[in-house]
Amino acid sequence: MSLPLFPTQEIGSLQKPSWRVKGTNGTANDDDLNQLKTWYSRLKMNERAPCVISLIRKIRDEKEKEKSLDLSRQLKEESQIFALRFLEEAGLDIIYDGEQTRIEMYEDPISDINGFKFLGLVRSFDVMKYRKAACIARPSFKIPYHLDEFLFLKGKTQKELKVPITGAYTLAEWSYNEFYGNHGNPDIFGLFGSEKIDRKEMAIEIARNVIRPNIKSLADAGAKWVQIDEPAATTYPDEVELVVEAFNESVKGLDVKASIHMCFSDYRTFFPAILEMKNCFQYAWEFANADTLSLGISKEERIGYRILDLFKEHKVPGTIGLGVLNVHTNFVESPELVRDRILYASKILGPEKVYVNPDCGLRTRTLDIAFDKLRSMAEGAKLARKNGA
Amino acid sequence: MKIEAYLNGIFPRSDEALNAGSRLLKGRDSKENFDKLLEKETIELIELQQSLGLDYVTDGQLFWNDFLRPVAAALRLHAKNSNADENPVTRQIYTNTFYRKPIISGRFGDADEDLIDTRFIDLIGKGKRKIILPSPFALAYLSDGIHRNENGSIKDDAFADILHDASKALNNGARRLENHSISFVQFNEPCLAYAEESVSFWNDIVESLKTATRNLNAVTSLHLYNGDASRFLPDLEELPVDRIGIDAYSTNLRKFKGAEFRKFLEFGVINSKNSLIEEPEALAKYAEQAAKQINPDGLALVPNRPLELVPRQVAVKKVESLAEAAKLLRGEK
Repeated sequence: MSLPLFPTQEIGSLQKPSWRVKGTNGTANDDDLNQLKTWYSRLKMNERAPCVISLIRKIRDEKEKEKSLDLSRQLKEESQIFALRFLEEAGLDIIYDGEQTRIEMYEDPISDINGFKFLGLVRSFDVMKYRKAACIARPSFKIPYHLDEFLFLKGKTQKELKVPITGAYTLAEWSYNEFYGNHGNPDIFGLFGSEKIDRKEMAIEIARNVIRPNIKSLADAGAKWVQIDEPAATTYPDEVELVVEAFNESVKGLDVKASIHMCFSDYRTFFPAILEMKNCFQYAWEFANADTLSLGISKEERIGYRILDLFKEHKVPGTIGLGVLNVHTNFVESPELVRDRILYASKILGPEKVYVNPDCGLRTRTLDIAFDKLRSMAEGAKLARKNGA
Repeated sequence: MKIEAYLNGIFPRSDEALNAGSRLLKGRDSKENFDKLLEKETIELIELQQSLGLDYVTDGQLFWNDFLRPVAAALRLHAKNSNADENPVTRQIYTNTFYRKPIISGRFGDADEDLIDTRFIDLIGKGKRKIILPSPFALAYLSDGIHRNENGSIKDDAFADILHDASKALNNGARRLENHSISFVQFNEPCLAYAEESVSFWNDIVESLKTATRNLNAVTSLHLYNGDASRFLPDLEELPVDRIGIDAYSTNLRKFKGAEFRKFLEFGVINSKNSLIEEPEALAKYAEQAAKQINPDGLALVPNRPLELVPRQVAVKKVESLAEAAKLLRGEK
């Protein structure tokens, strides 16, 4: 599949539409259905809308649990189609389904891995939260948890598909450890450093026994590109080698294009360990979050992109997934601002190294804002091609 | 030896409050309802600490969006045409929590208002009131702006200036907060122990704490977490605060053997990054081992870092265990 210069891509999640969220539990109201009609019209999917509305009403009226679950599954699949069209219409080159069938990037995979027990919610910042689990037994493969999702999407778009999967290090770091190590240690001196030893064992076992079989199942089914999401990668600056080891272990021996996404991190800590990553096609990082809103391609204007100097200095093989949209604000970046962010990166790294994406998944933004931002990103990439090619 | 127990940072919100926050973000719930829930949980936490007999009582900082935000907002540490709620989202390393990185665009002075919301501090009727502020070093080091070079490294002179401004502003803020009958001011120090630059700025850091604690009547402490505090031995003791806190899980206690430490030790032995509930007997044993090794003037059992990293129901059990262990050590059980 041929891609233009500065290919545009999504990075992960999109907000689930209200008709999908409420529709699956039978509580969608007229407002939700009106939103559906508006969006289906905007995405030129009008002809599908009556069937989807009928499906939502059937779920609401269905008394039999088995039938209701089957109808809900159909509605989730419909939201996968919706997300594909959403990203296509926004003008992106590399897409997926906005993780419409997943609960969230940690809870969803952990639910499908043996060895974990959920304990409750914790906050990550502001009002953002996630459900945390404890590892209570050796983690092992239960099911290929993203396979059905991929098989459904395959063949439903002409665009390139990139499958996001949460990485082993993040799953280990975000879980409580009630299994590894000696928790009954009566010696206070035994506490120092013990967490790191235990986390390493857990991360590598998840990489080898859970993530690698999952990626293999996707590759065997025809997936060409898997993006390993490791937002926890720089949690401990002295553990980035473990992140690298977990990545290498996850993709070892597999015939698939693999990349890594990390966000809201101090990327300086990742050098020079990054050079030990085997066959990592792309590093998709967040930049716009810390950038200015001024136009221009000087260092002062593009302060959020200063880490690119290190990327160049270390001659990192692979491409950069350049975050050009701040996912934590409703501000819609203009195409010109996106253009300048791209041109700045192109000036530092060379145009062939630059792919373009939001900083992270857009699930915290409304669909309206997300669409405007993505469309602006696609327009900005077009401008950059004209200006910088 | 005097034994105490108390909390030292942001306490978790319940599942109900977290879900209400999500609904609020999506426009499906009201701010009023959300605030009511947080108020209710703040009062419950105050009552929990009082009923367990903790030596100092905090409001749990449930309204804080991150460990710097209210202070950064009061000091107006944000970019032009922006506010503290729009500063860059940044990982607090060692955790999966994030903060809005303050932006320092010039030398700064005191806040015009209280550094933190005192509504709930004032609700603490029974028990000695404790507040928690970021340390001057944390405020300066975890910020971006004029004290950093283009590549993010520190500009030495500018950093020393900002550290000075932060210490003065925190001191004035803390003295103003003392009007609310505060008995204890803790400065939270999540980055000193891991920051490479800590050693080269040591003298500035000591000075900044002298300034930050000047003329305070309350007990003062600096709680170091996220890294190995033993790297500062033998100078750790010279930090000008009444008490020093360490994280038992990331500090090499063996290095304290023979070191002079004539301060009150806040011993962070409840692990806020694990869901296992520590047995009071085990905590008491750890504390005895630490006391033997470090020989402090007194010892307070505390979490190794703020308990916000575990679900609220787990945190409550950990606090109960903490209080129980203190009673065991005091011979009250």
